[in-house]
Amino acid sequence: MNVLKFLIFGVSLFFLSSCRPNDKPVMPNPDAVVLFSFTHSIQGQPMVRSTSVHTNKAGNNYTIDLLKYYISNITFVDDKGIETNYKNYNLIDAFDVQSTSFILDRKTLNGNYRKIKFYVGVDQERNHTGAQEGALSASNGMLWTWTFGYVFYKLEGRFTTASITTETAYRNHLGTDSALVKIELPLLLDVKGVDRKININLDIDKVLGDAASVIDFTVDNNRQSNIGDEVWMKKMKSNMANAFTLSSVE
Amino acid sequence: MIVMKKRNLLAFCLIALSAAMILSCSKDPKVATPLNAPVLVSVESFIPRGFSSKVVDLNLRNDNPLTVQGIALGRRLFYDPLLSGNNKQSCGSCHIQKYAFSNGPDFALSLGADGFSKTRRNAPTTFNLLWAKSFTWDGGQPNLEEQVIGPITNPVEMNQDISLLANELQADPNYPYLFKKAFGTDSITVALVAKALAQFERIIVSGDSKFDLWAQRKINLSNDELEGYAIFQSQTLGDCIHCHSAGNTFTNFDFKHNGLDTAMSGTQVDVGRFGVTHQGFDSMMFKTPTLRNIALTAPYMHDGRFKTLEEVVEFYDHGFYRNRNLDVNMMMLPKYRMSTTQKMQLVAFLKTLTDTSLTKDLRYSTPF
Repeated sequence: MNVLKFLIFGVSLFFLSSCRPNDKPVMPNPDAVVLFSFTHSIQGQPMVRSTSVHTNKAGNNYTIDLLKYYISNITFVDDKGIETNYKNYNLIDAFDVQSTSFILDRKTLNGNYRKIKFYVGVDQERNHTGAQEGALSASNGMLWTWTFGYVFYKLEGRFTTASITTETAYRNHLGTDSALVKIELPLLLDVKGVDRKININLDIDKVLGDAASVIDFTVDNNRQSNIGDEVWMKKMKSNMANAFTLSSVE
Repeated sequence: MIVMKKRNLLAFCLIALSAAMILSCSKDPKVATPLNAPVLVSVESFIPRGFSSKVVDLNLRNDNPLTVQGIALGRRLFYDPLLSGNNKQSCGSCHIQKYAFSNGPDFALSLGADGFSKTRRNAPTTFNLLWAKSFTWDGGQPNLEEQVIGPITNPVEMNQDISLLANELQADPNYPYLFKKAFGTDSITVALVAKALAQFERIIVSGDSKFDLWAQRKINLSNDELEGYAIFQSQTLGDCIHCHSAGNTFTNFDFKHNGLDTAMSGTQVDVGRFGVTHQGFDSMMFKTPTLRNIALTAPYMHDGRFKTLEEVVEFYDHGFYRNRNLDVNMMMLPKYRMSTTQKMQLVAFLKTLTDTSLTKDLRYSTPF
């Protein structure tokens, strides 16, 4: 039975492909392709994996072993207030250059765009639908369980303080529907039929906050959006809303 | 064309096939019948239920499409000792189907074709490679087509002189014809050997374990197995899922330090991923292996140091060292956190990942 299915599919595919005159899909003449590129910094300095030590506003000296997060639902708003929405889900791994740049599914963008909006995380619609593919594949290690949903943002590393002199591990795993972060950035993008590139930077120092919203690893070293993590989640959400900047449009 | 329904597609195929047959019958009998072109195999035809068939999730290559003939050739090559220097060892000698394509319980390290050389690491399994992101324990091989040549030429493995391999196959009475069928040329090259082997390895899939049947609501798991699954996912007990992800692969494909050794002391310690990247933070990190069929693939770890699953569970419960590079999630785990019963239940769950259809499937077995 399986062998038969195998053969039928194989044969069909073979004939299907042999009858197509040209393998290249015909593009619906897109006005532009927009490439996104995400960079990561700490107080304006480039982020280096594991080796460079940074100090946050709580006086923690920390390193970063891992930074992964979802960027989804990118929306362009033009000068008339009309929105062009992409149902995208992209997983950014700060230390994997193949993941930090992506092109959205091709869709006509033509106009003068003044704002860009996106989510950090996975919206409710897709947060509980079980095993999915691509960026939402469970294999990416960003899914807690199907009921709890995805980890939207993951930061892991080690830290020391004046009193904690032994390197101590920390992990900040932000998620659950209420923690979806909505980002809105001003944009000056006039698309006139040429490819454009949008560079966005995430500054981890800003995610770790300041004053009342500061993330202090001496108490926040093991936050996984569990019961008891509500204050931390609230701080993370408000800090993160100000942590992304549009560095340039090319 | 693309949106053609399955039934139409089938009809289309039949018409096309008949046309092809009629055409071939009307040919001048004096002209030798040309070989049929290789028949493409679609991944949907063999990917297990619930597994991703999305191109971005698969390590397929445009320059090496899966074909019936290519897979058949790859299978033959996989099991043919002709590929080793002294013609005594095949890929299948160390990747044994009944052990889920590992080398089995007696070999922490594999023996080379010479019968006494030993490999540096435990033979990894060769199923579900279609979803793999890199190959070998340290991920040193990003492409399957490149990886497959490694063990053939490695002096402590099959020890084949790569410059002789193509000639040896060329001189064989069968291979030129089989290569012609698979790739349209009977001029054998190492690159084509690699392509055929990669095709065969890509179709070896495992997704029919007890766990899968339970996930599809076809059977029940025992209470111990269900408890074990909860422990597997629990962040305070097993905490396995941070690396052996929920979902189908049972690995996140990441490189992690799992606390096997204290430091890079002496000459015995394997530096792992560091050997590929030469970055300090990758020191002693290894790729998270899949847990599918784990009960069949003893011994465990990159060097096969643990003989049983029970030993592995003891290690993750309290045996690990808090090395500088230890994974952050493990760093947070207290030792001695699981009870004897919980450890037994975790092992019971791991055994539900055994897929006997993998070990019996004739498509993966030796053709000799």
